[in-house]
Amino acid sequence: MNKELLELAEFALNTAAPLVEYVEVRAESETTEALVRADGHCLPPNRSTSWGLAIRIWNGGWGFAATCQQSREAVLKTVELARAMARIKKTKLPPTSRIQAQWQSSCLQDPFSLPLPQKQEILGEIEGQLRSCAKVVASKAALIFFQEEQLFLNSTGARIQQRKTESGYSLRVVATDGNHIIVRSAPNCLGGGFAQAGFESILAANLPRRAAEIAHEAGELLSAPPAPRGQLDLILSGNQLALQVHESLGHALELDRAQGTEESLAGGSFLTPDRLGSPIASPLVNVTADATASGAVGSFGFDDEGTAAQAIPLVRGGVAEGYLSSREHNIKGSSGGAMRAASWRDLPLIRMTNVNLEPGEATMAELIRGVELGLLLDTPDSWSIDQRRLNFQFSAEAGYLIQRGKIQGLVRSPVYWGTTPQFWSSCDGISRETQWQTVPNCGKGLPLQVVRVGHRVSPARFRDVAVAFGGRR
Amino acid sequence: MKTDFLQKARARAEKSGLDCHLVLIHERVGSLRLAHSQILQPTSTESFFAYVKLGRGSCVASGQAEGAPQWALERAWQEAEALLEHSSGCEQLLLAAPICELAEADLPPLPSPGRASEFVRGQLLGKEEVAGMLQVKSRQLTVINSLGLLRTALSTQAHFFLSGNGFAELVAPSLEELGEAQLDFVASRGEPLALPPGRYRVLLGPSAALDLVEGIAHSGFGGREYLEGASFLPELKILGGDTFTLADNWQATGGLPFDFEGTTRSCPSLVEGGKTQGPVTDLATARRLGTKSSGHSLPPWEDSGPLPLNLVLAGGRAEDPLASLGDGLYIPRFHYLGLVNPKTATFTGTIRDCLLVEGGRLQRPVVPLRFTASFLELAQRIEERGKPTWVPGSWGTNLVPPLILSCFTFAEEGRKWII
Repeated sequence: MNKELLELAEFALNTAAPLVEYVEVRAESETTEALVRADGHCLPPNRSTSWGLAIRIWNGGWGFAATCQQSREAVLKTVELARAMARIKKTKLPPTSRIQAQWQSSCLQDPFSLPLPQKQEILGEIEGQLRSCAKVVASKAALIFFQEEQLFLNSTGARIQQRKTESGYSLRVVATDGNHIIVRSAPNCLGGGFAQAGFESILAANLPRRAAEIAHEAGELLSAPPAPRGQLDLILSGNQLALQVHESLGHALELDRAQGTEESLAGGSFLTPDRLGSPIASPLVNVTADATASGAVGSFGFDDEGTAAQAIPLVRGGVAEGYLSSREHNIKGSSGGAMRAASWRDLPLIRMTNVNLEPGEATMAELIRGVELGLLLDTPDSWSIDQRRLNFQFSAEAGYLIQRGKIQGLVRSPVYWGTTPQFWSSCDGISRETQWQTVPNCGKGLPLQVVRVGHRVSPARFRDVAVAFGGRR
Repeated sequence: MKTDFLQKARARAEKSGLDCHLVLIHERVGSLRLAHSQILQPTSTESFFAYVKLGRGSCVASGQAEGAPQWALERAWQEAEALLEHSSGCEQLLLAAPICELAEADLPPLPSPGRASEFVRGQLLGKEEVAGMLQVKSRQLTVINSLGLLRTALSTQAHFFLSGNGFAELVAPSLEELGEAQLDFVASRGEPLALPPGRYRVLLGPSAALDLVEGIAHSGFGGREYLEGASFLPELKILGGDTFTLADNWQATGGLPFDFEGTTRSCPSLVEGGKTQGPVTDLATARRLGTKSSGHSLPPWEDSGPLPLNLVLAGGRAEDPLASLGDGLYIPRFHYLGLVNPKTATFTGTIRDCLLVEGGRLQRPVVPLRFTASFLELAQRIEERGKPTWVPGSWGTNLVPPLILSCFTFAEEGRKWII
């Protein structure tokens, strides 16, 4: 991080500390590089830098102000603004951090230092494979890299420096036979999959092969029959399961939502604190919020209140056991370390870190063998859930029909729906194989903040779920 | 942004020997968020953003930076220049025809936190267990290109809403103007009612009505969706009956007079008396369609084609929409819409803050219900329209009336969870 920003952060802290009960300062810089190829052509490569200072003050209540102006005059104004806002509410200051530490994510091959032509050549090879099926009429492949440096200071002595590097990709094809249009993407249609890693993660993902697979599958889906309608067994895998965990369990287990302070945008939660300890899933289901997992996008050394990263059990044996929490919103007397701000512009909020469905004991083959009539679903297509995280409907880009314990072939546009506790209670098998997935566009807060969330999931089987043909395109 | 700073940026673009497209945004956003009828999370942010796209034939690259204005512009330019050397095989950078409109304009300051909280406290009087937000924004958008174009415009918006067994919102250009309006928020008491699935006569409040027309406009009238064959155009010729008139009109809504490429925004009809018109365009889609850009480009850093931005739906004669509804459901807003099929503008979602209406009066709250419906078909079922009001949307302010629909189908019962 540049010296000027560090000095301004110190200046902000030293200016505000004598005037208020508590102050914390976050200085952040983020660099992003996006390389995209579509339909055989390069789109203009883009690199962006964002730089700014966030000041959060407690003086009887919280006040927050942020600026990107690089002058002491601007910092003084920002401190005054945050201070003026901190008079609005009168409550008690939650405990604060005193940690002094440094942390950085693993990065073997810095993606920003690799020559652009080398990255474009690899991207060209990947995108070429997306067009390997004659029925593909549009193709798009992207490589995206983030690097974030952060300094957290507060008036009780905390000083934490962190650095994260993330590498990710997204693949998308559109295929048509004149009658139908099929969209197929990988690892999801949400904006890509990411790892907290360097370029080595891109090379390890074998993307040319994955690109050829989804292109081929898009072509096959054109002639696939519509998904059947009825009460069927489902096996969810990959990003479909990650999104199911994310929407129906992850958000429901954010304590600020459960306590009603997120009500104005995303809503509340069916799992209010008085219902903690209740069964919400089958005894096989264990869910953990783990911010310590190496290489996952929801990991960090310390959250944006200076609390050390933790692994928090949320669901154990199907019973709701804990919440994602903060210093201010917690039920066990201490923060679970889930306060994250999307950027220097933003106030930290309780966010998902890496919310993981723990592996079971079955193999994928055993899960499939146990299905008389059902579907295996991967890659979400559309999704919607009500404001209590109870009533959901999701669809998938591709479904694989399972009959008498064997995968028979692809079906088009499967849609399924249900109610969170009933759906998770119908889970009767979880694979021992695990996959890391990303939800790269998790939105929360007002003003809206979008962050990347990690999910380690193991394919899981659900019995007797309502399924239909969504009729997409 | 000072005029000499902008003029220097234009001079640099013109003298660079490159094709240049610059977008500069200076923005102030202040917000007070509410929950449990208390103010939480007051925030204030000032940001300056520079986007620079440079082109030399088929070599095109872009850079963007946020920071102090001079630094951000310089940094964005450097990033684009560094990438340009190694970027080839791109489509040539298209630039809007030059227009110079430079007026001294400085971003207005945000209202003081004290003034904002005073406004909110006044609106909260007597209201229990409500959530919501007051947000005041001011933004200066400047577009510059190497052909000599320099356009700058200011926009401001104050938005206040309350929710919780009811929903109401106000939009105005400033907090002062907002302060003169009275928020018409009526909360309903009582245990939420779980209704059976089936068909209901409904009144869509302006926010839900905007979701309906925005869903139609964005899935059908975007130039990119049209070219990709994902739109219901050009096959769909008739939509919403012969009094259904939907336009994109920045003049009626206080929108920006030019788009992110600097093209003057036209005010196209999307549906005129029930007859569908053509899509909106930016420079790239217009070239492919063999027309002129209608001035609907979105920010170049967004992965989106041109879209209608400030929707205006013609109002009707329903002076008292609740009385006109009689018995049915009042749906002030939808929640979490997911696009299921763009060719039919079919969305799934739930209703939120919905209230049962009997004899033209609001009764009990209703447990959220899920629907999956073609918004094109819903438009056919509009029976009556009320007086249009300003509603904030995805890309600016819109002017939309409450709508009475003869039939709205819910496939499943409202679900309560009991342990």
